[in-house]
Amino acid sequence: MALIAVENLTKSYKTFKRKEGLKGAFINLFKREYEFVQAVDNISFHVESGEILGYIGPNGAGKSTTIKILTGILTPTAGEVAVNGLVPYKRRQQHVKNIGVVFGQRTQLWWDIAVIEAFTLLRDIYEVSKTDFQAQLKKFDEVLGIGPLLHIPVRKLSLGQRVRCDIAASLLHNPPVVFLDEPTIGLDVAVKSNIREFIKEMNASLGTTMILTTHDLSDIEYLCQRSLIIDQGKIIFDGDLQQAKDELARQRKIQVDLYERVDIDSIRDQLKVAELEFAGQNDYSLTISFNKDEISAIDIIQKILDLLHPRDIKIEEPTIETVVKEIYEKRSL
Amino acid sequence: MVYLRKFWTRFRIYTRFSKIRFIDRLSYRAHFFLVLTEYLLIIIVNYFLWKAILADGRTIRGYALEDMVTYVAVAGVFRFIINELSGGISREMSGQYHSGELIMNLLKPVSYQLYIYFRAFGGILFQMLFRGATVLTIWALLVGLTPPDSAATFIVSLALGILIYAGIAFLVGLTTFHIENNAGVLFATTASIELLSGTLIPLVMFPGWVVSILDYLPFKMIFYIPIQIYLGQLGVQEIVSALIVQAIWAFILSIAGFLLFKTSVRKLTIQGG
Repeated sequence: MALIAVENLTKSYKTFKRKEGLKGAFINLFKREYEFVQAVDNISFHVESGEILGYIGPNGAGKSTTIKILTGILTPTAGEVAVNGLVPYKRRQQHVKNIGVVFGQRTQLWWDIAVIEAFTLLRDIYEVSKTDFQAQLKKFDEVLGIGPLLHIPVRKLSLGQRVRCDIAASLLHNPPVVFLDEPTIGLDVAVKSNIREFIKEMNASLGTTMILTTHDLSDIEYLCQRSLIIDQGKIIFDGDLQQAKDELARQRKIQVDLYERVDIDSIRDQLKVAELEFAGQNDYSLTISFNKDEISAIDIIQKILDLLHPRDIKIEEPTIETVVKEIYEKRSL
Repeated sequence: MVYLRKFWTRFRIYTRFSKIRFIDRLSYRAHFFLVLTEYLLIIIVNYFLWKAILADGRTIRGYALEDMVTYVAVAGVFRFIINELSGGISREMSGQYHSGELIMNLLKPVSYQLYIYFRAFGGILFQMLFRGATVLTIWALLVGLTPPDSAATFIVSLALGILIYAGIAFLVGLTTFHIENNAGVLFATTASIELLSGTLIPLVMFPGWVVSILDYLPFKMIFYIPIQIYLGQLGVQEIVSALIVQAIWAFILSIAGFLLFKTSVRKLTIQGG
């Protein structure tokens, strides 16, 4: 049985439609119009034990709503959810004992106290034994370098420090399931890679199941074998993005820098490729777009070498960003 | 036995929330003295008012000036509790709802209601130990203060009164979940409690029909009963039945808060972020 099972999950909100202006404000006072927003629209997916699932989508797509339902904060309008065999919103207190949650934009440490005090409070709340607690602290210090931060009040930490402490706090009780909602948002490259390493390590050594939402697709590329893409409340992709990158991004580009000006029309005639155009402002560089199923890059390069004396040749690989963008765009067509 | 130990460990966790709030309250020195002065001034104004009203040994509904000297001081100190509970429970919950801190608290395996209660209790302990004690000491030295008739009964009754108020404050806090902005509700309840719980004037001074309505409401159970016990106005039988009624109100309001919290959380709509 899957560790996380989501079946036909739907969540709709009733929101109050505000009329604008002074007149609108008066009307609002007496007559209100409501509209229903379908934040999550009949989605189903399963996550197996030990998996790291990437969960991506544009802003307002329904990511956070899904996470909040899975963590037991929100109650779904329809559909079924089970995490670890428990229905999150029905047994909230019991459920949250078995999960760890990191919201990159919020802290779960109480502002007024020092980090170590927050940690010991969490230790007691989650009933972690003192020896386990010490071992965890030591491990977190090694990987996340939180040792020097322990005696600083939470409100005085920088964002990077706070997120590192937050991640440690959410994993203190060794939960089998961890939800990471934009854990690397606003962090510098060093801290980012630090956190990625840590997530990967946790998953490898303890088999922790994780759901990761992020806008940073390099996080996904580094950590997730499987990703879900959600848009307008619906799942529009479920699979390996690396694979999707190969399948979906057939358009590739070759950029050729030249020593001298060339006549683009004559080259286009001789290459017999769909598109060929000058890139940029000068005439000394041209970009060739092609479909890799129709012609291979090798063929094009060979033809170019026959015809011209290029200074440099660059092949542009599609990035994961372009793949995701393409999936979004396909959906909106 | 096992249950008792479990109960004790859980209880100790919640008291740590009290401790955090207590320490937090200690860390603002200027605020401490400003509020102290403000409340002391209100007591002094009230005192001179009563001194004028009850001049020449007059009494109103059994209250003479010497009763009112103690009454205004004790009731004045109770206003610290009102301040703490309306701010530390109702406004705190509203703030947590809007800032998203509520979400983070829902992700912890603790009861939100008890977490909020115990936080506020830490604040009240601070208010009583530092502000309350200071005000009463100053008052005793300057004007004079009758000690409580029965300190133990008074403390039990006050504790029950605080529980009743905490229950009301929690319900007021919950209204934010439904109407987004509960400032109006909060203002109205705080004003009602100041007026109807006996911190402004002794309730017997209201017209008879008001007094008989107040018998059916929880407000007088919050502070008026404890003050009456303090002043030794109630007989043993009356004290026992008052304590029972207080306990019933405390229980009903907390259960109402518990149930309403459950349904309110189900309706929670937090978009974005």
